[in-house]
Amino acid sequence: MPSEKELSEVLERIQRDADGFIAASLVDLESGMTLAAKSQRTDFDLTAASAYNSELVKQKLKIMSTLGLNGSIEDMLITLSDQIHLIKLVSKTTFLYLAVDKSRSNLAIVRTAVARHANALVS
Amino acid sequence: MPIIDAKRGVLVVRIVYDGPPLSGKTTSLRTLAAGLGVPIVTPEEQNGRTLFFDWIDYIGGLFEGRQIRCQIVSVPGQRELASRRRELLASADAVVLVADTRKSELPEAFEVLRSLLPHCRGQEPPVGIVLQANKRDADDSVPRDVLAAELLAIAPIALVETVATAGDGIREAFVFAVRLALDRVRAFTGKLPEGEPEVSSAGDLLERLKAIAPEPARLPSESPRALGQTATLRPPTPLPHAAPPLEPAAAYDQEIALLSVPRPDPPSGEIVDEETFVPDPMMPGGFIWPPVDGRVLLHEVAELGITPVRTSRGDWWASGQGCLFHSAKAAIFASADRGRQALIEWARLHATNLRCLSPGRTVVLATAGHGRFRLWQLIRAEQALRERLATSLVQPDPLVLAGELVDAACHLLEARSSLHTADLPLPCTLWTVSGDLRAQPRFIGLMPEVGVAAPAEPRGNDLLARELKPLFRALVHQRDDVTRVLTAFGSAAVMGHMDRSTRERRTATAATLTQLLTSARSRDEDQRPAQRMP
Repeated sequence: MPSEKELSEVLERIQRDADGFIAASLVDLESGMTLAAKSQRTDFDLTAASAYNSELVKQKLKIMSTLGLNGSIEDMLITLSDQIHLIKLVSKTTFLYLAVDKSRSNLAIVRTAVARHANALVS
Repeated sequence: MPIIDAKRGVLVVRIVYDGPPLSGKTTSLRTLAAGLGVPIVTPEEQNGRTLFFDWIDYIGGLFEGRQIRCQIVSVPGQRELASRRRELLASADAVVLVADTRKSELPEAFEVLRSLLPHCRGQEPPVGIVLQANKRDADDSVPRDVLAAELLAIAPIALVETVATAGDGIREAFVFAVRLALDRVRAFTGKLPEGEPEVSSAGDLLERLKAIAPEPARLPSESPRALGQTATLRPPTPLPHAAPPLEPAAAYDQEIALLSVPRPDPPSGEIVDEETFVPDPMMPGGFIWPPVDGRVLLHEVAELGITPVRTSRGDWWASGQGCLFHSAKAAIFASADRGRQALIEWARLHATNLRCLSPGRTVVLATAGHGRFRLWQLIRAEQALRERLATSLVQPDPLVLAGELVDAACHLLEARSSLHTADLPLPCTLWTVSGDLRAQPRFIGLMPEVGVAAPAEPRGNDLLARELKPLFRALVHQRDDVTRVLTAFGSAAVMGHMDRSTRERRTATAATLTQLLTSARSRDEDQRPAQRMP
């Protein structure tokens, strides 16, 4: 696993590439604990958001199991009225969580920024 | 002990940072606090040394819908403050042992680890330990593989390399410790207590510690169970292969056969493609048994980079670096729920037979691709009776050799009585019985698959004949002093102090060995008359 410093650098690169960046974290799926985090806004509780999003991913995995779906989750997108939240599974046990300001970004930019750097979070 | 603080809707767990003086506990916590963005409280210091503890209160993560409140505490490292350390460790749900891994400092870290183990293993459920190998940037830090090997010889402990001053690895060690704490929470059989935690702030804890009079170092509880949990390091087991060499897949099956119940026919059904199992210490809770030690073992084997391979029977198998992985062809399940049922059944079987089994066993339910799950057993390899005897055969002194053979034969017969029972008929062979003759015999082979009927093992002389005949043939080939070994059996059997029944039992066993070795020698002489003639 990359060091915390390396993980922070990757999150910084995502911040640079994703316009309207609010916050991003690498999250341990099982515990919901953040392995690295970067936030632009003090009013955005990234720790809590990361934890609750881990539950979201776990629930989605349960749904897939119940439906007998054999594929795997690549990413999950939540569009709010003013924000875009993207959850990208980077390994079986960790995911990247990214929140951006919808007025300053769009889905294509977010996905491109994440796709460019996600691999560096695991290798 | 974990507690559900219903009022705040959080699960409270305590992670305790232990370690020798000046190993980097406080630096680790300061770095962690900075990374988590929370304050650190250090009630009192003296010349930069912690007198009571460092305290971080962090809410993060989620467990079964509740946020996790981590009380992260470091102990004072100074020996004279051992009673405070003891009090803090008594409340740990996971321990991060911060070790200065420079060559000169490592022995002290291991000493602390040894003192910590009885307490952690003696708890129910056990408290997991992460070894935070600190100061990895130092020129004289012990290389990782050496460190891992030395650690393995002490106990199954997860190892995370860190440089606390630079922040490297600190968060990783912490998150791993939280996982171990959550595994412990899951392993509580009863309902978790609910209410306000007794200690809710650094102030509460300080008050508590101030009430404790200083006293000599001793950890809260010392249980003999801890000793049973420690691991033995040994090099990869060389297993005998018949000549000519077998194809690899068939050779793997031969290795598996040596360590398991006889399996006459290859199971039916085609072999389908599957994801190869990669040990992952971060796999979900509820898929590993035992929860805490299992995750630690997974963490350890993940570092070894061992990849299982498919055998010709369709099993999965890997061995090396002191570990064995096995999954039978049929141990695959169409859903996680079915797999978990099997995991629970197997965990129950292990748990009720712990006394008979070698320590360092883990059962894991891992994804196999296409929505399926595969059940694995991971075993820390131990010296088999056969391996012990292999070294005995080159003993120069016939009396010592005879003594070893009598001891080993008695050990095997004892194993037959205690390990091959109606409830769990484990195979008793030289390869499946432990080689430590000073301890009770333990089963070191592969746990039989649930529902697989094991054939009855022979008893007494029949068992000795089956297991020792091939060995005695080798002995006759290798040594010129077989007559002296034969003569020595009688006296070797009764050497030392023993009660009457033991003496009689050993004498009878020695008589059987004499008979078997005589027979092996006669057979050898019949087969090779020309070579024996002057």
